[in-house]
Formats: sequence, structure tokens, C-alpha cells
Amino acid sequence: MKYFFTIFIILLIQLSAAKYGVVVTSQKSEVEIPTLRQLRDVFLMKRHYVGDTKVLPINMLLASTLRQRFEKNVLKISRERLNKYWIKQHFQGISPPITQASARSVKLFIKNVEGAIGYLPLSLVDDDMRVLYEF
Amino acid sequence: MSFKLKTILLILSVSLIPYILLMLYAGNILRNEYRKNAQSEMQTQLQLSVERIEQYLQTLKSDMEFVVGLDTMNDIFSLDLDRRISHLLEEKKSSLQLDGDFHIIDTSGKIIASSNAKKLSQIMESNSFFTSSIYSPFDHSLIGTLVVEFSLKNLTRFFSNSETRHYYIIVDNQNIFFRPQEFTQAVHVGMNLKSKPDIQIILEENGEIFSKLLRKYENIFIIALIVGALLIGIISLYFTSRLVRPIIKLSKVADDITQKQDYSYQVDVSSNDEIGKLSKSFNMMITGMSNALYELKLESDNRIKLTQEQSKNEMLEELSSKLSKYLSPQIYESIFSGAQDVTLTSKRKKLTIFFSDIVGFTDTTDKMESEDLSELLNDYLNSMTLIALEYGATVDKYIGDAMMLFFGDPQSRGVQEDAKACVNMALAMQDHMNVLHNHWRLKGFTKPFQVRMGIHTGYCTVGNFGSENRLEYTIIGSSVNLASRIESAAKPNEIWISEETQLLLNNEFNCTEQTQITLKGFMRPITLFSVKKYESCDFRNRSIEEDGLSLHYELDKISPERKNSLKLELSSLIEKL
Repeated sequence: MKYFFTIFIILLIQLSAAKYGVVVTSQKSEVEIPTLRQLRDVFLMKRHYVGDTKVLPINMLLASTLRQRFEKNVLKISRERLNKYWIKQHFQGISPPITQASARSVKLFIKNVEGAIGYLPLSLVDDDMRVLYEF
Repeated sequence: MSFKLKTILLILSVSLIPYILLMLYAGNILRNEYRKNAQSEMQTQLQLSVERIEQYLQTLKSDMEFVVGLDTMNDIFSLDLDRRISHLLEEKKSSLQLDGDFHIIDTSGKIIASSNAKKLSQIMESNSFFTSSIYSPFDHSLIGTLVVEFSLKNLTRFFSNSETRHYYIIVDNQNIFFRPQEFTQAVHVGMNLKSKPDIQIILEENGEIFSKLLRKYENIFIIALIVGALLIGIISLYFTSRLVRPIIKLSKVADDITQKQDYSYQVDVSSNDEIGKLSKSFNMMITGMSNALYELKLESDNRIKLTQEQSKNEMLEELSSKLSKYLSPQIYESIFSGAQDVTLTSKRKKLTIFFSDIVGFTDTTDKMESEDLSELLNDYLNSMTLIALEYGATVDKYIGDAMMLFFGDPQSRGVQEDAKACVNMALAMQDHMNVLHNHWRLKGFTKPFQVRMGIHTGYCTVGNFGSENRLEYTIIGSSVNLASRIESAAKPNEIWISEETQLLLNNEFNCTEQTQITLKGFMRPITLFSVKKYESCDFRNRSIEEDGLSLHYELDKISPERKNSLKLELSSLIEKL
């Protein structure tokens, strides 16, 4: 029993340490690969361009685990702080990024909208996608 | 047409006709007003319904505008894979209780989200009721359209239909929807939706109900009109009767008076108005006329009496005038003046009695025709009588050619003056005989009358003698006989008087003693005198009548030419003489 429990913990650590999500854009998109900082600024709506290309960040729903992972690993801001940040931005006329309910719809959105950047589970990435960042 | 009928017609025409016209005009106004009010009420009801519809459509439109502004619309890009838009539309449809569907179509017209899942991926073909464009929040490009597939049935929930009133919808002025039934007679009002001008909401009411109600009001109105007209008629009749009654009374009384000529009628009117005053005046006039007629009748009666009396008097006058010719004027006057009673009375009085007759009258009558004799005698007696009356003699009687006169009764100027008047009269008669002789000569009577006259003054009995039925005013006594005897004793063309008379003349006349005669019944002889005028030197008037000589002239009456020719004739006569 102790053995199985140890194995589960090790697997859980392994899983949490593995690269699970990726920030992608359309293959046709001309968006350059951003730095982490640029990526953070894009999703915090501080930056709208990466290089010369206008970008459109796509979020997933708040309840999404991928979004939680994205916020933790990419934005590196706790949910509490993030909420305060968006409240503050709201009064300055800045809204959070567009949300999509599912990873499939994010993928479809990115395909259909030029300059759209979103994050997906690594498993959903196909040839039409270009990975900009892994987390 | 009677005055009453005329008055009634006049009052009716000035009251009833304007009343009926006014009522008809008012009725027409009220009917129009009722129709207008009914339509206005329908219009108000329709307005409320339309407002509620407009409000509903506005809510629909606002909700659609709200929906297209939501971030969820970005799911268009992901073809609403998560059905978030569809859920939203379903909720909206549910909240609006919409009979129809909301659809999101992309720019190619394909339905990518809908409240009706069956319609997904279909191409939207029909015209949508409302549309709202959806723009991309990041580049503001058109990414889709929210359309509503709207059934007009949604609007019927705001219609409160009843048996007599219902709503329906006309689209594009030709297509009619939701009309429950069509009334035979309908009143309807309509209104276009502001948000959808091609949709017209019509509120229709059964015209029969409306007409029935209107007829009911019209019947009430007609009854009111008739009752009012009857009231006006009755009031008019009442007041006309009251107004006209005194005039009719007046007329009836006037008729009665005219027909019966009875002026005792009076009009019984108690009012104080003009008619009352007229009636009082009429009564006063009738009373005045009655009095005037009574006075006129009295006057007429008096006049008739007077006329009768006058005619009687005239008859009496004529009769007395005729009778007077048989009487001496003095006697006539004294009788008619009442100075002398027509009774058998007599008195003793000293009178001067005159007798005259024509000498040889009986012989003359044998020689002349009776007509000529009558003319001569009448001429003679007439002339002598005129002279006698001129001198105041009382003609007692004519006895054939003889005349018996006396002085001193019934009027007397005194015995002496009466005697003088008698002698003067006799002289005048003697003078006038010359005139008569000329006159008779001209007529062809060559043998003139010769008259002798006798006068005596003495006491006589004078008065009415005879019977109660036949009276004669005369004198009787010996003096009368003596006067007659003196006249018989007198020579032709002479006047003889008794001594008693001669003594009364005071030598004013040329008296010559002639003889003494003794008469029967007289103790002593009586001395008689002939009387002549004293010759005067006045030759202006001269009258001589003798055998072989007849001369009479009045110088004042002869014209100057005749005087000249007379001068020549007299000169020639003087030479011959």
C-alpha cells in the first residue's frame, strides 16, 4: 500500500512537471515567437503587437485547469491578484481577453481569426498550429 | 281662417318649427359626436394596444442589441462550438415568450447559432423581422447578424377580442392576418406600427351593434322630440286660448251688438294688459254709444214730434192763412195771438163805421158779362180792401158790391184818431177810384163805377155773434144802421159823414154840410157833411175824373222825353181850350 502510494505521488509529480500546454497561433499567422514577458503582456492586454503583427489573445474559461496552469506558469500571477488587476483595468476601459469555452473552440477561433493567440493542450496541436510557447 | 287658428299657427311656427329644426340639428350633431366618440374610444383602445406592441417590439429590439454586444458573440469565430450563443438565444426566446426563433448568421448567410437547433447550418432565406449586426470587438468588422424569425402571432397576445370587437393585422396594405370574422356592417380604426410601418393594426367593431345602439339613442331622441313638440303644442294651445279668449269675447260681443242692436252687452275681461285695456275701452265705447243712441233716439223722437208739430203748425198756418182771407186781419191777429176769445162774447164800444157801395151796380150787372163783372168787382174790392187794411180798418163784411168796415176794434188808436183814419181811408179810396177808372178804361170798360161812402161814429156792440158752431165777429147797433143810411144818402163819388164824425175831425178836412135827414128810430134829424180834401198847390200828382174829363198823372214817374212831348200836347190843348 505504501508502495502504491509512493508510485502515485511520483507519477503525480511527473505529470505536474511535464510540459502540458502550449501557446499557439495559426500556421498562417505572421506572429513572431514572443518572449515570456511579451506573452504575459499580450494576455494582460498591455501589448497588442508582437513585432509588427497585431495579436488577439484568447483565454479559456475561469474553471479551466489549463487556464489555471497558464496563469501559474506563464502569467505567474495568483488568481486573486489577477482579479484585482482586471478590476483595475476595467475602470481604465481595458477588458480581459476573449474567452472560449473549450479547447476545440479556441483552436477553431485561432484558425479563423488572423493574429489570434491561444493556449491549448499539447495533444490538440496539429499541423495548422504553430507553437509559440510551451508551459 | 279664424284669428285663433291663425294665432295658433303663428305661435307654432315661431316655436315648434325652430324647436324641431334645432332638435334635428342637435340630434345630427349628437349622432356625429356619438360616432366620433365611439371611434375615438376605439382609437384610444387601439392606441393602447399598439403602444403595448411597440413596447414589446422595442424590448425585443433592445434585447437583440444587448445580445449582439455580448462577448459571447465572439463564439461566431469558433462556429459556436460550445453552443454558448445558442443557449443565450434560447434563454432570450424563453424570456420574451417569443413565437419564433433567434438566429445568428455569419457573413455568408449560414445559421451558425439559433434558438432552434434544427435550423443550424441552414441558409437564412426568409426576410427576418428584426436584425442586429454583430461586429468584431477587436477590429470592428462585421462578423455576423442576429436575426429574429418573428411570427405575427406574437402580436395577438396584445389583442383583447370580444364578440363585438376584434383586432386584426394588415401587412403591406393587402395581407390580412388573424381576422376572426367579418362583420356585415363594420366600424374600424387602424394604426401603423412605428417600428414596422408595413404592419397595420386594425380594430374592428360590429357596426350592427353600433347601429342598434345608435338607433336606440335615436328612438329616445325621437320620443323626446315628439314629447317636446307635444308639450310646445299644448303650451301654445293653452297660451293661445288664454291670449285669444278676450279677443273672441270681444268679437262675439261686437257680433251680438251688430246683430241684435243691443248695446247693453259688456265684455267681461279682468286682465290688465293691452287687451284688458282694449276691452275696457270697448265697454266704455259701447256704453258711450248706448248713451249716444239713447240721446239720439230722444232727439229723434223730439225731432219727429217737432216735425209733426211743425207740419201741424204749417197745416194750421196754411189753414189759418186760408181762413184769414175770410176774416179781417185785425180779428185774425187778435184771435191767433189769443187776445180775443173765440166765444160768444160782446162789448159796447165807440166805433167809426164805414159803408160804401157802387152806385147803380144792379143796372151795371145787367149790362155786363158775369166774367167781366167778377173781374171788375174783384179789382175794386181787392184795391179797396188793401187801402182799408193800410189804414187799419177792420173789414166786417162784403155785401155784394158794398163794404162794411169799422175802426176802433179790436185795435184802437182812440176814437178821434180812428175817425180821422176812417176819413183818410175814404179819401184814399176815392183817389184810387181814378186809378181804377184808368185801368178799366184801358181794358175796354168804358162805363166806370161810381162809389159813394158813408161814415158815422157811435157806440156799437162788437163781438162774436151767432151760435156755438158758427161765429161771426161783427158789430151791431143803431150806429151801424145810421152809417148805412148815410152811405145810401150820399151822392155818387162823394163821402158823407155824420156830425158826430165831423166833430171828431178837428177841421182837418174840407167838410161841407149837405143836408139833414131823419131816420127811423132817431129822435132828431141828423146833419150830414160831405168831405173833400183840401186842394193843395202841389201839381206833381193829380187825378181828376169827371164827365168828359179824366186826368191822372204823377210827374215823378214820367220820363224827361215824355215830359217834352206832353208839353207839346198840352200847349196844343191849351190853344184849343
